[in-house]
Amino acid sequence: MPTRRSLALALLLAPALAACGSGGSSTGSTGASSSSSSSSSSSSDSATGSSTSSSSASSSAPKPSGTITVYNAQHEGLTKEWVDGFTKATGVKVVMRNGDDTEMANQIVAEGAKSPADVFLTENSPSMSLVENKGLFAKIDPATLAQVPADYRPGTGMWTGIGARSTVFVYNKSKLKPNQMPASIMDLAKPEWKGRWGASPSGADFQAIVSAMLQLKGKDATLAWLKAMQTNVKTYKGNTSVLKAVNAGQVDGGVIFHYYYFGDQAKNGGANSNNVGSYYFKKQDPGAFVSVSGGGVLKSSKNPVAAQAFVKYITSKAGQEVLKNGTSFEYPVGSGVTPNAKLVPLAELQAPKVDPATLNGPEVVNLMQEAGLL
Amino acid sequence: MLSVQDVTKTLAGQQVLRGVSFDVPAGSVAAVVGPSGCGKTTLLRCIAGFETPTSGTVTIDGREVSGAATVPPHKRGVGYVAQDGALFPHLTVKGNVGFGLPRRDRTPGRIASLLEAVSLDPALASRRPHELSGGQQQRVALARAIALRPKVMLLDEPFSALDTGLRARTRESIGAVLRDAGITTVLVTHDQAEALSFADQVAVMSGGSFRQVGAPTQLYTEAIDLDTARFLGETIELSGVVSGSTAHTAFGDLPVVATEPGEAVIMLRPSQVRLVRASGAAAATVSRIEDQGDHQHVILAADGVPELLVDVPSWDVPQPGERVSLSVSGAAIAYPGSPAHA
Amino acid sequence: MAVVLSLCVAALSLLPLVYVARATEQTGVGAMARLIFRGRVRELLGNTVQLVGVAVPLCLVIGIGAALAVERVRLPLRGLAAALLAAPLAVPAFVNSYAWATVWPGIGGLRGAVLISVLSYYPFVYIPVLAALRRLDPAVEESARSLGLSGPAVVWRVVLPQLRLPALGGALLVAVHLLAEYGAFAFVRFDTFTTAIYDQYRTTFAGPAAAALSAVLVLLCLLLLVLEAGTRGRERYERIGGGAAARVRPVRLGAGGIPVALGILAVLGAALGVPAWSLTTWLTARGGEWTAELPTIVWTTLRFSLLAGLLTTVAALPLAWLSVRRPGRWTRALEGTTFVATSLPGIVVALALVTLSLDLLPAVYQTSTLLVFAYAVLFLPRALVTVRAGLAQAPRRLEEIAMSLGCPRWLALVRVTIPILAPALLGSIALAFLGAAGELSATLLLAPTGTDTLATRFWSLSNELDYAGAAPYALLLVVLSLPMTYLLYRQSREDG
Repeated sequence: MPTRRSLALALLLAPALAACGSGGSSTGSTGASSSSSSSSSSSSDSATGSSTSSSSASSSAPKPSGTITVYNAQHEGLTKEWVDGFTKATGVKVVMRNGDDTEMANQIVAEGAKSPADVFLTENSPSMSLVENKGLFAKIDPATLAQVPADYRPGTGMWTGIGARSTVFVYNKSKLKPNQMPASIMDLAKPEWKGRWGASPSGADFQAIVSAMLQLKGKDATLAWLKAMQTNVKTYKGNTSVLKAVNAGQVDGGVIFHYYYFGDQAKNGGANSNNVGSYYFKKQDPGAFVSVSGGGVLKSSKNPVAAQAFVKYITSKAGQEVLKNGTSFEYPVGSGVTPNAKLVPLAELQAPKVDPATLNGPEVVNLMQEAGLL
Repeated sequence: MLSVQDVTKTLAGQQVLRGVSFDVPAGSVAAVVGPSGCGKTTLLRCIAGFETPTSGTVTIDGREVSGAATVPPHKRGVGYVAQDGALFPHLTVKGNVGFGLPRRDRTPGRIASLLEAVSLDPALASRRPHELSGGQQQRVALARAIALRPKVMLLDEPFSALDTGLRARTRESIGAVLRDAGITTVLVTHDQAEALSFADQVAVMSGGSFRQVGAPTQLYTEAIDLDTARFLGETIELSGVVSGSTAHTAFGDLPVVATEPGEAVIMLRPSQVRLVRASGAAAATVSRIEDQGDHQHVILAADGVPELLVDVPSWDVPQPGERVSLSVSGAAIAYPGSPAHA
Repeated sequence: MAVVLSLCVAALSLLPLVYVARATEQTGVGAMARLIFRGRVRELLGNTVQLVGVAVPLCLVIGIGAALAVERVRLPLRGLAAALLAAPLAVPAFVNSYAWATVWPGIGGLRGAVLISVLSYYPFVYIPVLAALRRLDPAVEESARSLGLSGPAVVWRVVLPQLRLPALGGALLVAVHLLAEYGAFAFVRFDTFTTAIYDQYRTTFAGPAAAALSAVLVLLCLLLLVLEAGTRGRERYERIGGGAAARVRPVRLGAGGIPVALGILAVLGAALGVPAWSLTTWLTARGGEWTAELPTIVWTTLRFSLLAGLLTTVAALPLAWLSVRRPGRWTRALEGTTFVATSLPGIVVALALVTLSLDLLPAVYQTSTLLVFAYAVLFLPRALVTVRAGLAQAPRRLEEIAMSLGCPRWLALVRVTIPILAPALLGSIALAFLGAAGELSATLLLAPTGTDTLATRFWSLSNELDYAGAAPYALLLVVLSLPMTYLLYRQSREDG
């Protein structure tokens, strides 16, 4: 175990250093990085003897077993439910490493073939594209793809949608009346909205929304909008903080995803959302963008059988019903499962058509840096 | 007992010791005296084994401890008392004194007798070093060092941090303890009076080597050169010409220890000179008197030479203008050459 | 031996800087200039400079004022107040921030950031100043009084100048911490270089922008170090012995004591009362959510922090040894390198270690070994300062005396140097422990997969605004830190 190793290291170093003035000791330790080179603990120790080649296992593959590591950028609670259900059904142990979309995507890219990750789950599509473009994903099992309609997964089949969330304009009910809503998300760039709306531009969620805008309106319009936003917006860290600020009346409204409101209602009794209304832009507006959460299996996985099985489980009826019945309030996308009854049905949201595989995360970051938002 | 032969030591490119040799007979006390930076502490550290000489040998009780083989400090049986005592701040007096003793010997009785040996109240045993006065700290340090009955005791300016009255008393009591125990001792100091009064044998050191080694009286009366003479005490210096055992000076003819004839600086110790009223050519004139209370400075003038200052008791003082000559007990010492200063 | 080990430690602690330099080089001068000379960076620079400029003087005022009050004014429960005033050290800045966001939801901007910074960091000034106050020679003040100075004038002209060294040292620590603080400012919507670097990291992982911002931060830190060295002058080490020092008797202020007491109560209320009240509120809100994984997380936190304390202290030893036993220009430069490297925020150190370990030593990637190593890099300066002060109390002469008393070299170390050094070693372990237990950004990035510490779990829960769920973690973090804080406080009282 790694911890035991570092303890041993500290103990080894202690006498060596204590005697350093004597010139007698000959311990040549050079600090922690020179410690033993036995294999990393987090990579799974169970290759289970199955093929480790990158081509996907056929559907008649052996039973999944052993351990997998999931790089999870989804909400921790939601993935925990999937993990618990999957482990119960298959006996496969799942270790989760939590982070944000872009952070983990870039981490996987940096790790390359050495990545300890078997499965990558995100909240939004751009980060999946990032990993896919580096050629680090293995093809998703066709049986899994068959569970998800083509609208909610890229044509390449290198990853699949596992859920969806809609952009929403949350507003403080005592500050804005329903007839005072912006007609389009593009209107929030107008001077009359200066200082009145909030967002979390450093988060992947908001960047996904901008990436849809980039796709629909082009680079120049998007940059102009971002520059106007820089003067208009009050920035927060995280969508929950935006929701809270709107509820408290610090700003009139905010651009976030739909489920934060429902989550707060269910988990906190509306402490941060009881004064909040949800307004959907609809009409194929960039602000009506529905973002697809993705799941993929890493080519470098040492346990592809279990990794494929996990993604298959998430998109199965059992996995998708977690979205319907749990407290995540995200939209199910597979196996014909309907969303939670409290949500506006997906079809009524009139979302613009955007292929999730085409969303360009790095370009959005460049534009936002240019606009001074990052 | 302790023998140092031709020891040299180079520290950071500087030659600090340039071939030092001396022998200290068993049970006797030697002092090394010299200005700060002359290498005396380095010599002590070489004897203790804290430093290894670049060349030369150190022998203790017939055993060579530096030279062909090096014996580490803890196996030399050498006690060491540093300038400020260097008590262990984390231990009580008891813990300090018993530090070198085997565990079973660290009994209250043993500690008490060691403290008594250095004239300390055994009730201090449970105090911490910072609760002691400077003199007490010094004695604890000595008690700690003698507890092991070392063959050789090294004292590195142990009295210099104490004020004058305390210094003399501490020095006397420590000297007595060491002599009674028959411990061969080397004291290092920059205070010549301390060296002369404390030791059986004194070595005068300067620039990394010994100028002169000898008994205190011998050194005082027969200093090998003028610098050594000045370092060891006050001098009266006048220029003269030596022939045989007489020096001819502007203040009269004086008896000298016979040396080469010719021009020389004639050195007298103030205590060997008296003024007698005289007349004739070989006499000086009293130019003025400076009242010092317990004694008087008499300033003498003679033709063509600098004035001369002589101390006389306050009861028999010549008057300005009187003619006097110098009466000398024993003999003056003549150092060839002309006087270095006017 | 000590030289070789010190060089190794210094070289290892410079690794993050190597990474920043490499990233900077790969980005190219033109691209770097574009990333640095833009409005956003100017804004961040303004924020950071304002924060340091306002919070550090306030920390000095409160730290010195509180120390003077409890040491020199006769107040009821003086001893208790003195100990409690050190206790905010056990409350991580982000817990403080969370507590204040609870009682004052609108808290934000520079005001909020300054409030949190001052309340969390003034003990860095208070503790050393208090220790120095107790060591001052009353004779100096008495002679000043005899020269006709009034009480306040003595404080101003005699006492305060003597407190310059510890106060400046504390101020430097506060400033460096503020440059690298992340968690605390996320709650109060205040962007500094470090929060922006974190955002950059989240959007671009190891991107050039993060490296560019870190380079600016390194320069800021160098500037601080130069400033501090310039105002510090020549440092003196104390010598042992010299008789028992008397203590200055506290003065009775009469009615004038009431505002002093109220001031102390205000500081304690803001720095301890608010966190206590907020935590109690959240813990009782849903009956407290003491989940089954808590013991595991507590154990992980303890283990990582203790290992960090040990490794950091051990790594500081050779450098401290050189600095005390063989002082010189080279030694000072070597010490300086550790300070510069560790002025980088945890996130940059972590990013560097991720990149370097993947390139050079994949076996340690995502292991606790690498995490503990990162802690050691981050907290080396505070360990170094502590161990160095301890070693200065154990001069070489004492070992020599021990050897002349029959102890071989190693036994002299064991019986003399180490016991004298022990309080400082413990203090160093405690300081690094406190740092590691409250460390957030490097832990998030480097911890082994599936491992949570109290800080990271608190962070992910409070990020979702699940304040009630986060409360037990905050409470346990404070509880774990309290004994270490008390140890440091005790040690500062016994020095000298």
